[in-house]
Amino acid sequence: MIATRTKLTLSLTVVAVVLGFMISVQYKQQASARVTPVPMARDTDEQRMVTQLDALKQANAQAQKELADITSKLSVYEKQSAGSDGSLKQLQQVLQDERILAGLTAVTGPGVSVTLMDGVAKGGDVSQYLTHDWDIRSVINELFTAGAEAVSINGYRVVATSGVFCTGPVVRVNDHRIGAPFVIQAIGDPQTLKSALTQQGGVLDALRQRGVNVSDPQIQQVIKMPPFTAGPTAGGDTSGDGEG
Amino acid sequence: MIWLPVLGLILGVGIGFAVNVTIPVAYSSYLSIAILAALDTVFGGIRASMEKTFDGAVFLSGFFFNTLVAALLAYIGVQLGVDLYLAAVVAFGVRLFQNIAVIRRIAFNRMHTRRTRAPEGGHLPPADSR
Repeated sequence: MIATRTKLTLSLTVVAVVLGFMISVQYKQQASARVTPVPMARDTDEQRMVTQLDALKQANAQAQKELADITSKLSVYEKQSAGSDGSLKQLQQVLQDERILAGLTAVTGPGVSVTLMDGVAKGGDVSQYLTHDWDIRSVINELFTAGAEAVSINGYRVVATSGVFCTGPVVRVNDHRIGAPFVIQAIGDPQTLKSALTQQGGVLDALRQRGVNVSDPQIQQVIKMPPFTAGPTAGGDTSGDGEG
Repeated sequence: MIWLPVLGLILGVGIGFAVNVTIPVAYSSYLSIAILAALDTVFGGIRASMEKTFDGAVFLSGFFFNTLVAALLAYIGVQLGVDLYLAAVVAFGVRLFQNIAVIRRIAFNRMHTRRTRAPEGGHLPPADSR
């Protein structure tokens, strides 16, 4: 009698321990699921999307790099094939010029650089101290008119199809969002470009009069400019960014 | 002596809360079905002990076997797209209530016999009023 009773108690105890363990584990699980069901789901969703975005950005950057690589190879082949034929050489030169104008190739050369910054508001209309999209446009137009072969804003190449638009606090160039300060670089004859910008009553003078913080155009012997990129790329990897 | 299982239960709960064991959400339903099976076995054991037909080996093996089979059944059900765990829930649920009912009646019977000092022998009333 005692033996069976002991056995009963012992086995019941063993089973009770296991049962209690299982119940508490399950309870804990359920409780945690009750407390944070939605944030957890959203979190994982967000993380998934962030990972996806990163992967896409990386793939994009990779593709851009490949494109630049192929383009440079192509230009090498063209140089080789030009050979001795004079007319062909001339055609190649025209093609090269058009390419540069279209922003298909990275270019290097002498030019000028000017920086536009929002001025410090001293009363009155605040918006007149800000650098607007049309200010950038007028500077770019002035540079192209003066014979600039290639122009970039903060490292983003400006071509015939480029747009410079205001989107709230930033400016969109080729669908890249960029903010002040705007470093505008132009490749061309440095003296001509500089004088075009600095002429009396010119664009920069007009901007300065309004209170916008405009630097003096700097002549730079070597400016490197990346090819035109249409969409947002990862972390400005293709941008020459600033003082090239 | 009779409090030992209760202490064990408390101990198990304590261990479960103290140890940071988490089961993937996908397997959570298996655990719940296993708990149901375990509960059923425990009440079955209590009933058996009251009916004096308790067998330690049967009880222990039944506990673990039922638990595992219930989880297995749920797993198979998920694989086949049939809610087989419902079968386990119903079966164990019905058994659970039956066992509890029997335990209750036995307990009442004992109290009754003790109070009226009726002849000893653990005589059970016919099981018709579940």
